[in-house]
Amino acid sequence: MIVDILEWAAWIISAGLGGWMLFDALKTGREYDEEFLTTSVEGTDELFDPHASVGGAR
Amino acid sequence: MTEIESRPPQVPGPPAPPAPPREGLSLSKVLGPIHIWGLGVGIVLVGEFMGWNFAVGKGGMFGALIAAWVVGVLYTCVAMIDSEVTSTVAAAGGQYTQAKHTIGPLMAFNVGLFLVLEYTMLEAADANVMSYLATTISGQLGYHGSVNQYAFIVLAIMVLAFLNYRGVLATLSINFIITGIAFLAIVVLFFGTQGFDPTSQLHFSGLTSSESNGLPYGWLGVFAALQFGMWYYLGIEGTCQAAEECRSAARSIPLGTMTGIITLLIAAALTWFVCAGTLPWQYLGVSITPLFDTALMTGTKSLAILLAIGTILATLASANGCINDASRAWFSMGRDNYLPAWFGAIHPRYRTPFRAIIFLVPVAIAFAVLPVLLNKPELLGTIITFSILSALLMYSFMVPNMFRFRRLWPIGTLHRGYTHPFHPLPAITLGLIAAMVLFATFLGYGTVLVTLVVFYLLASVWFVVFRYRYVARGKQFTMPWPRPKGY
Amino acid sequence: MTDVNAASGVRVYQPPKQSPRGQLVDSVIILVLLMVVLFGVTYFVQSSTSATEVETRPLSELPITPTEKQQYAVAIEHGIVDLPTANQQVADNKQDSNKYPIAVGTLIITFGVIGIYLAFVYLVSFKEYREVIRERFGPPSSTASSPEADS
Repeated sequence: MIVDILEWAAWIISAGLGGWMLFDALKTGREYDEEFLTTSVEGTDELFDPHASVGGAR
Repeated sequence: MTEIESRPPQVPGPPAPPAPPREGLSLSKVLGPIHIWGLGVGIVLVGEFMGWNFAVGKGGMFGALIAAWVVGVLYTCVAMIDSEVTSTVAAAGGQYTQAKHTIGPLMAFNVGLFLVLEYTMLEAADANVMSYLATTISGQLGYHGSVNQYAFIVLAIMVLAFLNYRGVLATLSINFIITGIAFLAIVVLFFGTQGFDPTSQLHFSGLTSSESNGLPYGWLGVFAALQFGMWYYLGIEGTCQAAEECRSAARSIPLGTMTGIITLLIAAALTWFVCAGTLPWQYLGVSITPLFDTALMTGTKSLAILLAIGTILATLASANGCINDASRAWFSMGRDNYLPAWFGAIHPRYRTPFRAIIFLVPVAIAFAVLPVLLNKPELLGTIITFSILSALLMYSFMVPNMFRFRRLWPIGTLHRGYTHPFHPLPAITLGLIAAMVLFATFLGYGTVLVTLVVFYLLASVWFVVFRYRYVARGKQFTMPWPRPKGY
Repeated sequence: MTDVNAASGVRVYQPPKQSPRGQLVDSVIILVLLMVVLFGVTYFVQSSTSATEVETRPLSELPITPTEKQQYAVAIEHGIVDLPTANQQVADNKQDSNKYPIAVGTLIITFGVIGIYLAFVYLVSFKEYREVIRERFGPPSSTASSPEADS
C-alpha cells in the first residue's frame, strides 16, 4: 500500500523535476543570446594571470 | 582574457543581471578542498558498498585482495601523473584538456568520451543498485509485493540532475556530508563485527583452510579479479573535473585528492576484511550489496539499517558526483565545438553546464533500467564493465600523455605546481598494469571489450569525417604555454 | 571556411558555424551511436551465465568448508539467500584451475581491433596536433617562442 503511494510519488516528482529542467533550459535559451551563454573560457584564472603563482614560465 | 577579469562576483543564489554586451559567463568559483574530497571519495566510495566483490567471484578472496593491492599501485601512478599534469592544466575538461594539449584533437575527443561514459555508466550502476536496495529493504521490512524499480531509478537520477542543474556548491556540499556518513557506516560496521578482534566474530578459517578457498581459479583467477579490483578506487581522478570551479585549484585539487585516496585505502581495507570474514566467498562473489549483507549477517538490526542507509547514501553520492563530472566533460567538448556548441553553454543564473546535464539524463536512465528491463541483475556487471573499460582506456592514454608532457615541455620550461619523482617509472608501471587489467577484462567480458572499442572507433571516424570541420584549430590550445619542443 | 592570413603569415582555418539544425542532428547521431552499439549489444548478446539446473541439497551435503556451511546457515536464517540459490552459487563457484580458457583466435581478434583503434587515433591526432601548433604558434622556426601567451 505504502509502496504504491511511494511509487506514484516518485513518478510525479520525477516528472515535475524533469519538466522544470526542460522548461527552464528552453526559457534560458530564449531569454539570453546564444553568444552570451557560450562565452566561457577554458582554464582557471590562476593559470592565465601572469602575477599568480601558477603561470607559464619561460 | 578581459572577459575573465571583468566577471562579476559569483554567488549561486541570486539571479545574474541581464547580460551587458561584453561580459563573459563562467562556472562558479566556489569550491574548497572538502568539496573536492566529497566529489572524489563520493564517486568512488560506492565501490566498497557494491561492485568490488565481483572480484571475489572472479578470483576468490585472495584474488580480490591481491587485486586491491595491484590496482592500488595503478591508481598511485594515476594520482602522481594527474597531479603533475593537472597542476599545470587546470580546466573543467580534466584529462580531455590534457589530451588536447599533449596528443592531439582526436585523442582529446576520445578521452572526453571515455570520461563521459566512465561516469555515466557508473551513475547508471548506482541508480540500479539503489533501486535494487529499495526492493531488498522493503522485503526486509515485511513487504512482499513487487516494487516498481523503474520509478526509483528515474527518481534518483532526476533529483540528482536537478541538484546539479541548480548549482555546484550545494551539490558538492551535500556530497561531502552524505559521503562522510557512508564512510562512517563502514567504520561502525568494522567495530560492530568486532573487527579489531579477528577471532571473535569474523571467521577466516574458511579462507585459509585450503588453497581452493583462497585462490579457487589459480593465478589466472587473480588476473581476472584485477578488473573488478578497479572498483575500489575508480573515479578518484574525477577530482580534476572540478578544477575550474575551485576558489584555488592549485591548493584544493591536490589536498582533496590526496586525502581522498587515503580515505579510500582505509575503506577498501576495512571492507575486504569484514566481508571476507563474514560471508562465504561463493555468495560474496555475486552479492549486489556486500556490506549491507555483512551487516545483516550480524543479526543486529540497527547495524543493518545503518549500512542500508550507508549504501543508499553512497550510491547517491556517487551518482551525484558522476553527473557533475560527466557533464563537465561533455560541456568542455561542446565549448571547443567537438560536440555541438550548444552544449558549451553555462546557465546565466546557476552557473552550471545545464544543457550537458540534461542531455546525459536519458542515457543514464536507459542503462540503469536495462538490467531490470531484461530481468537479469547480473547485467549490472556489464554496465560496470563499460565504466571500467572507459576508465582503463583513459589510463592507458596517460602513459604517452606523461611522456610527451615531459618531452614537449621539459622541466624548467613550464611552471609546474607539482613534479612527480622517478619520472618514467610511474608511467611505465601504469602502462603495464593497465595492459594486465585489459587482459583481465578480455577473460571475463571479451564481447563487451570489443563492443566498446568498436563504439569508440566508430565515434572517432564520425569525429574525423563529420565533426572536426567545426573546430577552430589554433584556438583549442588554450594554455598560456611556450611552443612545444620539436614542433 | 575561408582561409585568411594572420599577422604571423599562417593560414588560419575558419570553421563554419553550425546551424541549430545541424547541432540537433549531431546530438542525435552521437546519442543513437551510443544507444545502438552499447545498449543494442547488451540487449542482444546477454551474458550467458550457467543455466544448468542444480539439484537442491541440504547445506551439510554441499562441498564447502564447515565455516562456509555455518556462514550460509546464518545467511539463510537472516533471509539473505535461500537454499536453492546457495546450491546454485556453490555449483557455479567450484574450484577449477581451468575456469578461464584462452581462445587464441578471439584474443588475436580482440587485440587486433584495439590495435587498429589505437593506431588510428594516435596517427590522426599527431597529424591534427601539428596543424594546431602551427596555427597557434606560427610556422616552425628555430626559436621557440609563444605569441600573446603572456600578454
